[in-house]
Amino acid sequence: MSRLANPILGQYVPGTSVLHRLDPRSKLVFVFLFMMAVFLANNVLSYMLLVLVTATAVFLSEIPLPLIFRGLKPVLYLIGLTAFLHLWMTRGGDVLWQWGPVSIHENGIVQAGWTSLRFFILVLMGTMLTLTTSPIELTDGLERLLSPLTRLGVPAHELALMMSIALRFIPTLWEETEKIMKAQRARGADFESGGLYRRAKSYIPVLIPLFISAFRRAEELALAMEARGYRGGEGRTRIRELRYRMADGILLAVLLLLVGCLLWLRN
Amino acid sequence: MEPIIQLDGVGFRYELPREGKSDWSLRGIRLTVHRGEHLAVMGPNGSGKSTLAKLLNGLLIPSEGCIVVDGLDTRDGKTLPAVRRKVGMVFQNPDNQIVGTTVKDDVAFGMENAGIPRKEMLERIREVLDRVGLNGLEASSPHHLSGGQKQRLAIAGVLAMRPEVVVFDEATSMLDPAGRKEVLQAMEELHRTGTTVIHITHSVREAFCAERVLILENGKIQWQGSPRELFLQSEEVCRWSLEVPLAVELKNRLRERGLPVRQDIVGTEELVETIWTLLSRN
Repeated sequence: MSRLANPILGQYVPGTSVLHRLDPRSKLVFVFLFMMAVFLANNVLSYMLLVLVTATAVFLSEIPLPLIFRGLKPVLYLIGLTAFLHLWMTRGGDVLWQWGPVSIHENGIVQAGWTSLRFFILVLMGTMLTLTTSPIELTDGLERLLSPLTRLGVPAHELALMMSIALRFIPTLWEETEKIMKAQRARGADFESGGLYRRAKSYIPVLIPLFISAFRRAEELALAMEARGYRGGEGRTRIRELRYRMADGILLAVLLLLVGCLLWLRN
Repeated sequence: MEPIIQLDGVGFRYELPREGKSDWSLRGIRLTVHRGEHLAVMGPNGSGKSTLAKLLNGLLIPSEGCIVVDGLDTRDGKTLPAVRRKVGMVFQNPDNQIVGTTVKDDVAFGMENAGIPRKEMLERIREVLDRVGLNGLEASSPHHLSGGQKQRLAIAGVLAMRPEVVVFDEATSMLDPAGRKEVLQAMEELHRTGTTVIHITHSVREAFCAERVLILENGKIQWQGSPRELFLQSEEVCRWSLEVPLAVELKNRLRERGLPVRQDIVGTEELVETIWTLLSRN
């Protein structure tokens, strides 16, 4: 309930839509290349095409629009601010409005519009990835995509393991934080009153025990992993399976088509 | 009986001795664990119980002497993975031994390390979750499990490796009574199906389920025998600062009062029986 009321930007929403079922690798590649392709657009038609693709993605995700936009709210403010700055700072074209040294030029409006739209498309597509892909799937996808780079010294397996252990322990550490806060409250700690500085300072007695226990956990976990025969990524098999399906092929085709169209439409 | 683990003159110290101080955690341990045995290891804090546990699957390598697990010396780095497959460990803290983000992932962790093909992993996961009674929770995340369930998950992860021996290193000490019962039942089931169980514990009541009890103190084996024998010598038990079960304590007090109560009573039911007999005789 609380998540619906106040969703975090890009927090995973479980579901069974086409987008949810896509392979995380193809989603990652698509979003990465799409974000670069966005910069190819430079006229009305090409921007319309981008808007169309993004809208289709939103539609296919089957995630309710209010949920998406509530998460995006902080970004919308940021977009508003940049648009505002562009409006005043950009010169060129006819002067539309002037008051002393302050003026709005024609180019300012055009720039503000296009930049906001571009920014908006980028963020929205980025959230579509994280909204429809669970963190652990993302981790898996990243590991497989990076694994060819292992020979160049990129520790793909280790990075993925670190991420998945972090994900595994977030709720555990969160619970512990609450427990420590209760314990400190029972001893008279006050987390609510005072200014920002005082409140931040009052968290020190929470953070120190939390860190100490996290280190102890890490040590015990390392021991348990060793006892279970962990020896690094070599020779490991995997229970999680990633498989490209028909839909992943279609996604790739869409991407190629999109880039082709953008190159053709731009002037 | 066929031996599964043999310790011969095993000593262990965590660091090299500082000026004349001997800081052996364990010294001169000679012990044979038999196949299919249920062994309990007891002792006060700092007696070397946990060190002993970690030596059994090569997490620690003895500073002197040797440990042979089913024909493999733990000092041999090449066979160490095999030793760890043969000897599974369940640790004290339920949270700090779960690696996977879901029940299924966690059971698979050890098998992934061993390079077992995915198809077989899926079969074994189904089988072991059935055995520990966690079927249906495959996709649950570990923090939604109770303490007892977490420990059963840890047991499932160990069982998936088809171990010969399972060592429980104070695996019940952080659980509530219900969780403790779940783990003890799982332990009992393992023993019944022929797995060797080594249970390191503080609780005399739990050690009582074992066939053989070993008492460690100051890094040495002080006593070993059946649980029944142990409580016949309750002064000894007190000396090792172990808590005595209520029935044994009561029997001793009654005997001190000069009542004709048999010395070899250890269970509640036996004692109740005796007290009834005494009462009706009066």
